[in-house]
Amino acid sequence: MAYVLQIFPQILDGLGITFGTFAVTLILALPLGALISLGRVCKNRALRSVFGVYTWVLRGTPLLLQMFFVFFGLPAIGVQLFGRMRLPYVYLAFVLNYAAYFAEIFRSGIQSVEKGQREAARLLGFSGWQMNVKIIWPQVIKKTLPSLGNEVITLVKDTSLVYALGLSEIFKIARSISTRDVTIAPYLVVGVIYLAITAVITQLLKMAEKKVYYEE
Amino acid sequence: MLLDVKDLCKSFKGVPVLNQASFSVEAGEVVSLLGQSGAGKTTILRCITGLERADRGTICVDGRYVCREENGVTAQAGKRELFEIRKSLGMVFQSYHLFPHMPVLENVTLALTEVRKMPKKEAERLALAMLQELGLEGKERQMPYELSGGQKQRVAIARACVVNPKLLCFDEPTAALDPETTEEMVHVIRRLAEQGMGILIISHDMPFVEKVSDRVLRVQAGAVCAG
Repeated sequence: MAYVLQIFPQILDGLGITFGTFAVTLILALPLGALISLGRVCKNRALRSVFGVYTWVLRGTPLLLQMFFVFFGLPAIGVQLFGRMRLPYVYLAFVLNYAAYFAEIFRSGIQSVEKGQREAARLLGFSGWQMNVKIIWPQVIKKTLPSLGNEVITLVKDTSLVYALGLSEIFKIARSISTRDVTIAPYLVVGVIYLAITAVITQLLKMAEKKVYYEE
Repeated sequence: MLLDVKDLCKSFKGVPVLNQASFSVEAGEVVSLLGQSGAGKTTILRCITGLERADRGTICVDGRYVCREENGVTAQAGKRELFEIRKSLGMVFQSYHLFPHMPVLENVTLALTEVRKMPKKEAERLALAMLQELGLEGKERQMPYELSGGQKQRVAIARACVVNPKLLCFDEPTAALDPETTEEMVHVIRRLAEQGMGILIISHDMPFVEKVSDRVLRVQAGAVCAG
């Protein structure tokens, strides 16, 4: 126990990067995913195809590969987005990847709203924006919240991938301590931290689902 | 004339559905289009409301043209014009299509507050009066799933009527109703017509349309003829 208490603060040092990656991804990927989902269901065939290819590529390749591509690949072809900073590259890769997953979830939600409701709204004079804000998206949120919740929990665990770019998040710190002290205790501590984070998120998602629930 | 439909033609993937359909509806008149499934009744309604574009022909609603055929060319109303035309139109769908995530009152007031920009209080006053007139007092806080088929239909009527349309269209209004509720629907529709609203009903329920209508027209092979 004394050993755990001793390494716990060291591991917590990495929590900033874990939470930062999680929060930035969630805040930026949700609206980006919503926009992409609108592109996936729009009338313009070319736009639908472009976003279709985007989601196919981003969902069809590993996040780790995308992180490497963004961090090493872009500078190699002369695209210097963030200089030598690593974290913004991580954010970019995570946001682009998760936006693709969120877009597909939102798309299924949009398409599950019956066509007749859109027609009723159009006849009542609603503009596309009003229809989306007042009629379609409140239903999309309710219908997609459980699937979004799954992705959010996966995101918490995926933040451990940032160690691959040499950033010190909780998993990387635990690995270093484990190598140094030749013990698996740091991994157990980090496992408990992930469980605690996902437990809190699960509760928040449950509350959100309860708030938007209605019978159909 | 409130609604004038002339020589309306429409085909889907080369299969003709409407073949020079012509008829009219006056203000305060209840006109029913009776016909078998697949005869083209619903397509007529969808063309009138601008949900489908007619291939040829003329549709005039309260002096504005949804489409107009002149010298063999059919011009379609633009987005703005369609928006204006729809202010004169109300539609009650066969499956009602209420918004399931909001209570009855909000279903009825939403078009007033969002589209017509009416203050919420005034919209609620109008909606409550409309709900009361349709026998739905006390139901305003209920969600659509808590209502029976007949009640849902009356909410759909209230939603369509609260914006004060001149022409109200019904798509198969009795398809999901029991005989008692069907009888109630006759009274509701007659009352709306007495207030000066033109009513167009699409149905294959002969006893109902005979009771409720001033004129019954038949739709056969995409054309409209006297009943």
